[in-house]
Amino acid sequence: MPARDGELGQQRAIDAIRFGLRLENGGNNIYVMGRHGSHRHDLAEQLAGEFAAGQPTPDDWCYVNNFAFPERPRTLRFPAGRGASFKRDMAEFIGELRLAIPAAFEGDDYRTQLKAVEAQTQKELEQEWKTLEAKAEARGIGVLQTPTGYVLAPVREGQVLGDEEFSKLPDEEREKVQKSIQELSDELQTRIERMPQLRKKHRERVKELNREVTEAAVGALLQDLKARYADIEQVGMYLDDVQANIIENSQDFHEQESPPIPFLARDPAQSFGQYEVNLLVGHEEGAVAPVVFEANPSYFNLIGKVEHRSEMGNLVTDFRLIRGGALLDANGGVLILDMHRVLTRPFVWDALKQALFAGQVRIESPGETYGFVSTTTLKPEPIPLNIKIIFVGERWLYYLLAAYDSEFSDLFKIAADFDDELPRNEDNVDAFARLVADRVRVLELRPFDRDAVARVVEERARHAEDSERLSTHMRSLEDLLTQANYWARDRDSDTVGAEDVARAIEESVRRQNRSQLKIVDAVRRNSLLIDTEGAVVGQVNGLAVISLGEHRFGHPMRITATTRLGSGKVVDIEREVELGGAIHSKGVMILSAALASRYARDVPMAVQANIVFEQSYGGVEGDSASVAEMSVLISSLSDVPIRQNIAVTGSVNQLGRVQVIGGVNEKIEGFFDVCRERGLDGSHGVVIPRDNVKHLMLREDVVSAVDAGKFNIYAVTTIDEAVNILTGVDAGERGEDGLFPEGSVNRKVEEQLIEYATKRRKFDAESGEDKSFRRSSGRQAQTDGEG
Amino acid sequence: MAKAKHTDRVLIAITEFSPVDVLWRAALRRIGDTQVELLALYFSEDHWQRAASLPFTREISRVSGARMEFTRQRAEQLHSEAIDRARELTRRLAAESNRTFGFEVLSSKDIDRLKHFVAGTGSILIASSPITRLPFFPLISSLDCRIELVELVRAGTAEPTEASDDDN
Repeated sequence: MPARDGELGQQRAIDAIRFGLRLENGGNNIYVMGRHGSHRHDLAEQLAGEFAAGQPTPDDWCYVNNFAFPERPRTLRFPAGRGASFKRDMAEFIGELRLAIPAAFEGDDYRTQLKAVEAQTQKELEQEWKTLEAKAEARGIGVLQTPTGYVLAPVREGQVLGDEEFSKLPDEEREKVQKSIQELSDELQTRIERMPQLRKKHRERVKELNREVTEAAVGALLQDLKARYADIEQVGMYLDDVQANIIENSQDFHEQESPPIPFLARDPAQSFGQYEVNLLVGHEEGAVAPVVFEANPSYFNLIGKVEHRSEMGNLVTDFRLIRGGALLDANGGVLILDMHRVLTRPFVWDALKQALFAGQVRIESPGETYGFVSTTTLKPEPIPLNIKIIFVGERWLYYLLAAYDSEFSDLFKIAADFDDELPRNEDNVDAFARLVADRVRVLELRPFDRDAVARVVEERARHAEDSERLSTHMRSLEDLLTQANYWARDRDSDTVGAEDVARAIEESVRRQNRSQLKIVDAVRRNSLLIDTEGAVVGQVNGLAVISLGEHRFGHPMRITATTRLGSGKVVDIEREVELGGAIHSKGVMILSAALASRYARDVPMAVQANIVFEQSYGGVEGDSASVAEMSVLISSLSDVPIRQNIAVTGSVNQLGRVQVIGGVNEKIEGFFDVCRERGLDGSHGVVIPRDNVKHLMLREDVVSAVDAGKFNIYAVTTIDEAVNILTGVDAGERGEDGLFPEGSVNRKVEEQLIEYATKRRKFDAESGEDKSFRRSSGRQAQTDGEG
Repeated sequence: MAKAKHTDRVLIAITEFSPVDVLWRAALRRIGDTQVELLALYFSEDHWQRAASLPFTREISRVSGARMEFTRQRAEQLHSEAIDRARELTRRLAAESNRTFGFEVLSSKDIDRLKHFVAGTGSILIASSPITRLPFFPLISSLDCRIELVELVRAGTAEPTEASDDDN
C-alpha cells in the first residue's frame, strides 16, 4: 500500500485541513503552512477534492441587462446546469426575434395600417394648408412657395400684383391687402410653429402601431420561454422586462431609413445584444463542487473584471463584458491560493478580505474602488459568496499576518502546520520506503532496489540534519529520485541502485561546491591561515557554515584572543566593527559572564580581553562559536596552548554547559576536508556538543575516516571537557578547599585573574585613582574595596 | 383611347416645382427606342419678382416661421437658382439614360418661341397637372400638339394621362 503523496508524517496537518473544510464557514478558512516544496499544496488539493465530492453542485450565475439602469447589470441565479440552458434559450429567442420582428413589419397588415396612419397625418397637414390657402384666396392673397419658405402677395385674376399694379389700387384696398397679409402671415407662422407637434403626433401614432405589432410577435415567442422557467420567479420577472423593453423600443428592430451620416446608423445587432445572457459561472448538473487553484491571483483573476471595447475611439462596456474571477469559479467549493502571491499582487489581499467579510463578490475595477479613475463603468450586482479558502504559505508569513493583521485571524482560523520531518523509527522507515515507491511510480522512474531506498532514507536523515529524523520535504526527495534515475540510465541499468543515489548526491554537491573548494584551496595555499598541527596559546579553530542557495558547507575559522590588565571587559571585535550579529554578541556576553562567575567570584575581573575572528570580512552570526571563544580566552589567560589539529563548535551557557548547535555535519566535514588536504594522521578531530551526536549524518568518507581512526569526533558536555581535549591538560575541578588543582588550566586562569586584580589595585593606589577605579569597575570593584 | 401617331419631338414642361425625374421617365417611356428629339421647356414665371417689388412683402421660413425681407435680388436669385436646378437635374437624367436633350427657358412674353417649340402634330408635351394653372396653358392648349399630364400618385411613381391630342 503506497503512502499518498505528501501525507507521510503530516497527520496533524491533514486532520486540521479536514476539520477546517468541514466546519461551517464564518472565518473557518485554512492556512496551510510549511516549507516550500513540501507538497503541502498537492495534499491540500487532494483533501479539498475529497471534501468537494460530497458537496452539492453550486448554482449557476448569469449577468443580464438591467433595462432601467443599464450601468447596474442584474444577476440571475439558476440551479446547476440551467444557467447554460437559459443562455442558449435566450440566444435562440434572439435569433427568432431577428426574423419575427422584421417579418411582422414587412407584412401586408403592417403596411396597410402604416399607410392609414400616414394618410391620416397627410390629411391633417393638407387640411391645415388648404384652410389657410382658402382663407388667403378669399382675401385675394396668394401663397407663393420658395425653396425655403413662403411669400404672401396680392393676387388678382391669377396674377401676382407688382408694385405698379398695386399702387393703382384704391388706398382702402391697399390697406386691406396689407392688413390681410399681416394677419395671414401671423396665422401661417403659427401653423408652421405647430408643425413639430403634428410630426410628433405622427411619430406617436407610428410608434403605437409598432408597439402593437411587436407585442403580437414577441408575446408568442416569449410564452414558451416563460413557461420553461416558471419555477424561477426572478427569471419570470426578467422575461417580463425583456418583453416590455422590446415593445418599447420596437423601432430599433426593423429597417430604418439610413441616417445622413453613416456611422450614426443604429446597429440592430446591438439592439438584440441587450437580451443576451452573460453566463458567469456555469456547472453541469450533478457535477461535484469546484476546487480551484488560482496560480496567478491578480486582482482581475481573483475578483473578476469589467472589460471594455473600443467604439469610435471611446471605451464602452456593458453587462456582456463582465468577467468572473477565481472566487466565483470556486463559489460553493474550495479555492486554493498561494499566500505569498496574494500578498505581492496589488490590491488583492484587501479585496479578498472585503469579499470574505461581506460574503459577496462585487466586480469592480480597483481603480474605481480606490478612486484612481473617474471613467464611468458598470456597477454589477454583487454575487453571494459561499466558499472555503485554503492559503498555502510559509510559516513566517502566517505568524507575521497573525501578529500584524487582526482581520487575518478573523478569517483564517484554522492553521494546518506541515512538519518538515518525522521520527526515524521502523514504522516510518517502512512508510518512507513505500512513499519512495509511490513517487517512483508517479514520476515514471526506474525501480529503486532495496539498497537504493536505504541510501535515500540515509540522505533524508542527512537532509533533516538529524540521524533520528527523516526529512519530509518532497521536492528535494523528488529531485534526488529523479537525478538518481538519471545516473542509472546513464550506466544503462534497468534499476536504480545505491551507487546511483550516491552519485546523484555527489554530483549535486559538485555542481554547487565551487566556493567551498576555493576556501579549501585558500587554506592549502596559506591565504586563509588555518593551522592543523602544533599548539598555540590564544588561538583556536572555530567552525562556520555558509549557505549558498541550496548548498551548505562548513569551513574552519581561526579565532584568537588576547588578554591584558584591564577593567573587566571582553571586547568582541566583530561587534565593535558591526560585523557581529545580535545572537553572536549575546554569546560573547554569556561567555564573559561565565568566565567571571567561574574564575573571578572573589576578585575583580581586572582583565581586558579581545576576541577576533581572523580573516573574517563578512558578518558573523550565531552563538555556535562561544565554546571556541571561551576556550581561546582560557588559553590566553592560562597561557596553555590549544591544539591546532582540533576544531571546536558549540555554544556555552553561563554555567559552562555546552549546548546544541546547527549545521554540525557541515562543520565537521569542513574541517575534515582541510585536514585531509594536508594529510590525516589520526590526530585531527572536531569537538562538538554531546547533544549534537544524534544529529550526526556525516558523509561516508568522514565516517570511514573515523572508523579507520584517522579522524576523531569528540562529544563534550561542559567547557572543561572541551578544554581538556583542546589543551591536552586537565581543566581541573574545584576541590573542597575551593581551589582548582595545582597545574590545572582553571587554576592557571584563576591565578592570572588574581594577579591582574592585584596589579590593578596596586596600580590604582599608586596613581591615586582608587575612586575613579571604583566608579568604572562598578559593583565588583566596590565589593573588592570594601573587602 | 389615343390613336398611334408619328412623333418627332417630345417636350417636357418644367416649372420651378415640377417633379423633373418623374416627367423625364414618362418622356422616356413615350420615346421608347426611337431617336426623336427631346426638349425640356422651362416655363419661367415672374411672380416672385412681382411680389418682391412690393415693399411690405416678407418671406416666411418653412422651418421656423421667421420672417425675412423679400427683395428683388432675393427673387432674382431664387429664379435663377430654380432654372439652374432644373437644367442640372435634366442633364443628369439625360446622362444616366444616355440621351441628348435641349433646354429652353420661356417666359410669358416668349409667345413666338413657345409656338415654335410646341406647335406641330409631331410634338408631345409631357407635364404635371399643376401646369394647367399657369398662364401659358390656354395658349399651349390652343396649339395642335399632344399633351400628356402626369398624375403624381406618390413619390417615385407616376401614371401618365393623355389630357389632350389633336383630335380634341
